[in-house]
Amino acid sequence: MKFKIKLFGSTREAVGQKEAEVTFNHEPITVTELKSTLYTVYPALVSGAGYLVVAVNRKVADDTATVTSTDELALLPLVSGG
Amino acid sequence: MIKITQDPIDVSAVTDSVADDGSGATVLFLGTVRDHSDETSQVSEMYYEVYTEMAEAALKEIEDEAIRRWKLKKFVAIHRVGTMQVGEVSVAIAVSAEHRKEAFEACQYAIDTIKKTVPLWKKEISGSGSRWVKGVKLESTK
Repeated sequence: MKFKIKLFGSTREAVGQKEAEVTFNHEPITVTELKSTLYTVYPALVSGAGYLVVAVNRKVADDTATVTSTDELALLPLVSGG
Repeated sequence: MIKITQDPIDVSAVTDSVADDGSGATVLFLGTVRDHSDETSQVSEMYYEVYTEMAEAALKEIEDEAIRRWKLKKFVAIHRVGTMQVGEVSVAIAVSAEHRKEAFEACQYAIDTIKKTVPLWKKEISGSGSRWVKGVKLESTK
């Protein structure tokens, strides 16, 4: 299954695309699995890894949360609104 | 009412929109683009990026919570995105309440929470280049 992950700000720039894509041969997967695969496929993300948050269906998700390829996924760097 | 927009924010319209005959206090907060930061001595413009759908949902939760907790008459929060010049308004929050204490507290809560729970990113642009502003880890709205 293909998982598409929206990218913003510094993660979008690091990858050079608005969306990342990773493939798994099973689902659901955990947020931890998703992150580690993203870092393998897109090494440019590793430097900010400690600060990145995964959002699932527009909500912040814990590392233990599970996701499927139909969920809306995003990888969010440190936020600085206001 | 909450909104994410590319357009300049009309501050008078924001203030007018929280007018309420039952309110004795209106508080307006404006966030503006500063000409410098801790890291950059001369900022010329600021670029804001947003995850629109998630940001709208997070703003809505802030609105609901502020109205509920401080019994506000009206609440408006507008965040602009895109490129802004020094002095331009990036965010406007206006609240009206029966008394000033509730209005001040609710407005402070709204801007403090926006900074933690709304997925927005800003990039300083200066003569010597550009950099994403180091922010905070996004927190859950609930």
